[in-house]
Amino acid sequence: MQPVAIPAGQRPGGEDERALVAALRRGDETAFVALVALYGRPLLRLARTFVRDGAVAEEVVQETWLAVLNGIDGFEGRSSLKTWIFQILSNRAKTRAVRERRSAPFSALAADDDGAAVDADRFRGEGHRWVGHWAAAPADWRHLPEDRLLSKETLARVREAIETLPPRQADVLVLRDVEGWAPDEVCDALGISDGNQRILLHRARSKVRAALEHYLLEGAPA
Amino acid sequence: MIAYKFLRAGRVGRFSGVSWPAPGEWLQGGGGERACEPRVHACRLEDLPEWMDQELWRVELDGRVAVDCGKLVADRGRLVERIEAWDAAFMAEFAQACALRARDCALTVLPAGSPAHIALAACGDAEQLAAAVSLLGTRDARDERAAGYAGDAARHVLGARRQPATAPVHAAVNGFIAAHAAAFAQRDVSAVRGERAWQVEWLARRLA
Amino acid sequence: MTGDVEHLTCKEFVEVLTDYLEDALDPAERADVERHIVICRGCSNYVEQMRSTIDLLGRMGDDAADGAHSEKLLGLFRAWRAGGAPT
Repeated sequence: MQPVAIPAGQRPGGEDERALVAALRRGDETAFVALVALYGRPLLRLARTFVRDGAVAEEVVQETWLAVLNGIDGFEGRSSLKTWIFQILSNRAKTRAVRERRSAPFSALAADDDGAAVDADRFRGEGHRWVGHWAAAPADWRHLPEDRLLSKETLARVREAIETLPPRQADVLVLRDVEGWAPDEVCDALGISDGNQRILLHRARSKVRAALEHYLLEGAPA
Repeated sequence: MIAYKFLRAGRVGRFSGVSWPAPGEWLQGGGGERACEPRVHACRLEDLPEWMDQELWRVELDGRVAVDCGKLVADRGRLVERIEAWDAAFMAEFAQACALRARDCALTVLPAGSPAHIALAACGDAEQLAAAVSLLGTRDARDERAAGYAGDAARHVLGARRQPATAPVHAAVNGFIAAHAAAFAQRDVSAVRGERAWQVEWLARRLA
Repeated sequence: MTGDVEHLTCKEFVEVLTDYLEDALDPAERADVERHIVICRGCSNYVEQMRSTIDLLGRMGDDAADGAHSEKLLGLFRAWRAGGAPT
């Protein structure tokens, strides 16, 4: 299958969407191929934030596409096609996640924590003349050799960090920072408010940064 | 109107990342509606202590010019001339002046005639101040804190001299430390204003 | 004159950084954040670390699409179409 080269995060306008929907209804294979090229990867990534297991995530995505095809005639265009597709996926993935509960990693069951962006012990405590300021300041990563920061190992560590995020934080981080979606697209797709989206993004980014820092400095400053 | 502009080396805006054109050429802001929207930012004299960076320029502003959140925002601006006096050595001097001010604040807190008071009063420069504070054996929490600010500021001066590329941060933080020390010593948050005014006066006399 | 002892602490800074990068702060808050960056190398480094983190996240999307998965989807489509998709 030849993937159509469409940049991530692109939003087909109303015109393009209507054309895509019409073509799909006609059974036009290239329309389906274009849709998969556009949304296939983010759908799979999002599915993985719900169900961890790669094979199960793929099944969820396949079920989603089937539901899209079966439902395309009834699609009225009240929401965008993209939002609709991702809502189908979210619903299927959640249902599947409940069924797969036995195999879900512990972190997926944990409620989103209220953790601070950075451990409190990195800052001066009460009584110090600089309470709230860095006790062990973050290092300047510009002094790291570039090939260290961009190495396969570092990227693998980032991937690991994403996988240990609470699901709702992972959802937002994946769509915003990995897939490059705009904030309002993420809010529509996940059915959350902008404020909520930002909080989840904040916690997710903070955790990934901390994991990266730990890895890059072989056990971050005490 | 004429104002001031701090930039990173190479005429780059620290927060915008924008490269300012050569002196004389206008830089157009984004023309946004909100204050602080992509518009050109600059400093009045009284804003200088809080925005320090590697290069200091005199800048001409045009169009709508407003004061907002401790800086000037304008529709467009152009660099007029680089203020050559503003270099790493100058920043270290400013940092030291602030460190000695923090020391003076500590002297108002430490008991007159105490060993700590005598030691700090005798300091003439940052090296002496850093050494003196590190050797102090104050037991009183308030004394220790007041001396601590002076010692921190002294160490920032040494940092600025050791690594001239970092001088802007050390200079800026010492302005902050001195203001903070004044408020602490006087138990009055509004003392900050007076301390900042002293700093501006210090800068104005030497940069005019 | 601005800047006083109510200055942002580093602990507060790391909690508002996302809002700053998302351009969700009002001008006064944004100025507070920037004034803090001017005096704090620790937080300045933290901002750069966060930017690097976001940059790396953006590179996750460079994985090649899974060919086998794509083939399955194509098969799925053709089966759906053959199953009498109404025109």
